[in-house]
Amino acid sequence: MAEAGLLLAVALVGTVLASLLSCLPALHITNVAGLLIILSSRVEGRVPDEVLAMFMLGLVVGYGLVNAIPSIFFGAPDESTVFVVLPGQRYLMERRGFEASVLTGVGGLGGLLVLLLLAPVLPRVLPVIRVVVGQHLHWILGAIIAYLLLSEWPKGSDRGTSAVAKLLDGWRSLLAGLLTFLLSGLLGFVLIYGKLVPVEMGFQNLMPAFVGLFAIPWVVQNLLSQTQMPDQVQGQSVDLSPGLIARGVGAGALGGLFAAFFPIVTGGIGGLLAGQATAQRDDRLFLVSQGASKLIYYVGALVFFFVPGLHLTRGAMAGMLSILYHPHGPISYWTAIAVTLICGALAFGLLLWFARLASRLVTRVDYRWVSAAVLALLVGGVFALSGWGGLLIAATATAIGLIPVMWGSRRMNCMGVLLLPLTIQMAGLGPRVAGWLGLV
Amino acid sequence: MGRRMAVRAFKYGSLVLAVVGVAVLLLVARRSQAPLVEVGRLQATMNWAYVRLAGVVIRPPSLDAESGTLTFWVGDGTGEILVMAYHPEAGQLVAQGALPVMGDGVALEGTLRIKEDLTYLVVNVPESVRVLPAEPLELAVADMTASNLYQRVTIQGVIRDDRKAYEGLRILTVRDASGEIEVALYWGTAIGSEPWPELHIGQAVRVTGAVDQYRGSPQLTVSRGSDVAVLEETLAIAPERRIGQLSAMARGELAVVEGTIVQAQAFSSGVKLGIDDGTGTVTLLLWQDVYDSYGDRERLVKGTMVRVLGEVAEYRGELEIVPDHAQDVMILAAAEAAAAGEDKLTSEQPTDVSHPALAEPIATEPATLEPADAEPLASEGQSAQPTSAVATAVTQPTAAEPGATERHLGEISAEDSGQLVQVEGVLRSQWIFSAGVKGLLDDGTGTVILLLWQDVWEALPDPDSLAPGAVLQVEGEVSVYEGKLRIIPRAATDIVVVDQVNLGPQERELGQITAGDVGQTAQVVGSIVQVQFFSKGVQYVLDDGSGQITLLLWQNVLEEVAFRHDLAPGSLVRIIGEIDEYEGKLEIVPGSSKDIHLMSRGERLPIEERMVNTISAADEGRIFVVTGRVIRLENDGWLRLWIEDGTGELLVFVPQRVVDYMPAGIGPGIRLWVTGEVDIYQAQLELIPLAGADIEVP
Repeated sequence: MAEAGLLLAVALVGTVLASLLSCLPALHITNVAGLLIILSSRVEGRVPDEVLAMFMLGLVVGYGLVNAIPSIFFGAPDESTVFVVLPGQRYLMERRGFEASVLTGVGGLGGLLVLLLLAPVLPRVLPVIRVVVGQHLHWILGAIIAYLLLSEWPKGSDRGTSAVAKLLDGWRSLLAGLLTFLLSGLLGFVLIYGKLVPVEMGFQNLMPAFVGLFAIPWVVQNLLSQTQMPDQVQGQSVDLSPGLIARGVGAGALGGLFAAFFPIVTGGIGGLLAGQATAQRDDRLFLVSQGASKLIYYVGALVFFFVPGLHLTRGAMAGMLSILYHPHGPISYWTAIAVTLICGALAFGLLLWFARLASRLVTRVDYRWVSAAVLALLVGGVFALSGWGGLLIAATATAIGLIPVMWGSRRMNCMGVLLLPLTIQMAGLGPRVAGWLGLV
Repeated sequence: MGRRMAVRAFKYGSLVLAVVGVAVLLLVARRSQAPLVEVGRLQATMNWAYVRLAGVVIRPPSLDAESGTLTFWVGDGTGEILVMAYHPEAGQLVAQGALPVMGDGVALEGTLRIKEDLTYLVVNVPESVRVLPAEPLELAVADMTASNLYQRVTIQGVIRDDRKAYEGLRILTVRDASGEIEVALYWGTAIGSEPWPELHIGQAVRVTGAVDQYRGSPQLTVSRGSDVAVLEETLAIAPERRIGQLSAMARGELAVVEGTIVQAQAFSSGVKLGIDDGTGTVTLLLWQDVYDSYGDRERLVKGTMVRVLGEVAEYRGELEIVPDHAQDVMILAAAEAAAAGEDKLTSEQPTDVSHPALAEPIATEPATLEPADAEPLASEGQSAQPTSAVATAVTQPTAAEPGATERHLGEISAEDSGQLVQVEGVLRSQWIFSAGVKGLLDDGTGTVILLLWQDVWEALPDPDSLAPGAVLQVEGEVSVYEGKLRIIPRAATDIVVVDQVNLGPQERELGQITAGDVGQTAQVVGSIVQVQFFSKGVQYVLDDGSGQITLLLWQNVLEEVAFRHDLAPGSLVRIIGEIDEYEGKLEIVPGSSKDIHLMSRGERLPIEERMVNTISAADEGRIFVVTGRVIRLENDGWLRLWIEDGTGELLVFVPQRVVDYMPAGIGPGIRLWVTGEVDIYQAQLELIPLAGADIEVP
């Protein structure tokens, strides 16, 4: 085992790097990690696996906390999508972007606390849960799909000139959501059974799709947006009470843990389920719980990889890391826990610092230019990693990802890219459906 | 940012682009083929890639009954990879009869999973698995070489041995005229669900399987019942020889001889029959188990003509022929028939034709013996076992035997074997074995093993008086077994306890043992103060206060020690062994596990059965029993097995010295019961078995 001090130092460097990169809208840390994996696997006498693991853990912790900044400061809603505005963006428009960042960060800290409290019991509890749940994943995921689709309701204004017009108005976003889910699912089948990404980049075969489904529509949305940013204020206090923090962290922890443990379920889905389950209505609660959920999803999924006797590979980071590294016993686990906490503290400090910086710059820097640069970066990255096949996938995925943006439905429906094919696969019907599609 | 575009254009454009894009992707994907990859060229970044592989199945497939997961290994000349099909896909493969077996060619597609410690391919689509059975080569056993590894070959031979390694694996030894080979039958598993023919020792069979290697020797692996056929015809697996043609040069070879029994003698481990065919005489050695299982053993008397298939051996300058099984001995003419005259003798049909190799007797010259008297076998030693099988054909010793001579133990040598002697000495130690009780008798001039057969032991009026320290007067026959002198009393009355001495715990003080004692057998008592493992066994440092000596246990001896986990610091042991010296250090080396006695156990926590998730770093040094299924393994002389018991994974590290003693056929999917010490190596928890016997296939 490498020296603990070295591991911690490397992890802290990862946190700082991730915090910097997280400020760029739409740039996902897993894309950066993918590049690191490629570099690491190709360099002769490469970085020791354990050092790489801690670096990636530092990256995830930094990203899990600091990525609140672009989602709050660089995702301003356009007038056409204002009705789906999220609390973070509402805070931004109310000049309280900094406060929203702090609320999210507080949730993240709460998430870290939850992980710390659970750490002693995870090695005993999770292996049992995995065994119990293992045989039931297909119907659990099926239920989640049903919930995602059924929990959207018509959003029409009821101002149509005829009954049909009113019906269409109400069902427009609903149908768009269903279409998004279906098209994403078909795209997922193509990714699983298709052979469009170079085999040498197999570990990044989902990357073009995710960039297209989530990242590019975000920057496109930014580019289309003409919103003028209001000046931001940086308060010395936040509107929070211990009870509110506890409720928010509790709800977020439920969602985050659910997402971190179950395959395919993301932090957003977990947060949605937990939010519904705990009946959240308050914007502050939402921000705190999202902060907790997001952090536990990203960080927890990687920490579960270190749990002795479990070694879950949930989430892209754990999946990528498992290629090169296998954690060894309780020492690795507790090292990961310690590193997570220390990096979390650093990341929270960086979050506050970057949030202040962002709140000052947001009115001075045209984030559309930033978005354009990020768009170029994303497209270049997709091409570099997955070639023309990847670009084709990303272009199609972008079109699918734009549907919820343009038609006001849930972007979460894009997760059909994994939910649909893998649930069908787990139910034993994957080959049959792939056969219907002519993929096998 | 230029002129604004209507959002509506993006709204509808996204719809059109999304639908068209997915359609185009589907079209492209349908026309593309998964890339063919070589196992040796797989790299980490290929994780999750959907690829094609072509190769040969190089290990027997395993179908986990609980999870329904099918696993098998494929080699393509550049490397090997584990292929997995989970429950639904595996079930479909079973249903469509597309399960490959070892030696089959396969072409398949699936998703690569590359982890730090394991690379495997997951079959998503059963239809993408194509099994391409190779045309088997017809080979003689001796022609199989390393170049045939994983090839399918067909052999014809006779089953010479049949044993079950564990549930699901049956191992036959099949011999043809050129040699013999082990045939591993994956029997009764879901993989080999086809019916298997009735098989037993002596049958001639035709077997098709894949060539494998086990401990450096070729082995044939068979997974399909249809690949084994019982032959009607007979197969000659050994040359027929005149006895006069046999020589020491033929040692180790199989031969068929015919002749008439001219001498019969029982000894402690079986029966020796002199066979003569007119060209010479050879000893037919029937070990006790072979003799006991012989149905017509009463007829194995002087004058009986027999045909024998056996291995040529030499013992003390005498040639022997040693059959492995009762079926290898066939009576051609009974003693009465021989006595009745030449014509009847030559026309006598074989009475036992169960062995194909013996079914066609060679034409023999008429026996030149005098009409036999059907003289019973003379007993050499087992006289006091009237209930034994031997005793049914063996008479009691005659009164013509010479009387016992009084001797000192130091005077007795192997040359006295068979002599009746009377000795007196102190019983230094005593231990029970399967057929009775043994003790070490010492009279100060030397030591000898006192062997009491069970019936003699049970007939003793006070067996408890024969405890270490008893001074005994013993009358018995001298014999030599495995190079050790033994005295075997014939009856309980041959043993008299004349005194009792206080036998101290040490036969020899360790401090008194010097290099001058090298080569002598000694008994020592000492506490284990240090344990050190080496490549062939374990060294324990014993200390009795006067000095130290290294107790060297070769792995083969350690395997037989039932209380091996108690051989730990703090335990007090009594050892009988030969004194040796290695690199200036004195050692005591017991020849067998029976020479190791645990007198008191050092303090250690009890051995417990544990679930994997209940084992932690705090348990380091403890001994646990874990039951789990092998999920992957690595070997490099040593073996690393990862087992999973539903609560987690645990690494079982099998040191190189132990690997040779493990049960055969361990691979992914096999359920194991492992007893071992919890250790932490490079921050990883692992279980280390002390012996191959600590790994069991339940």
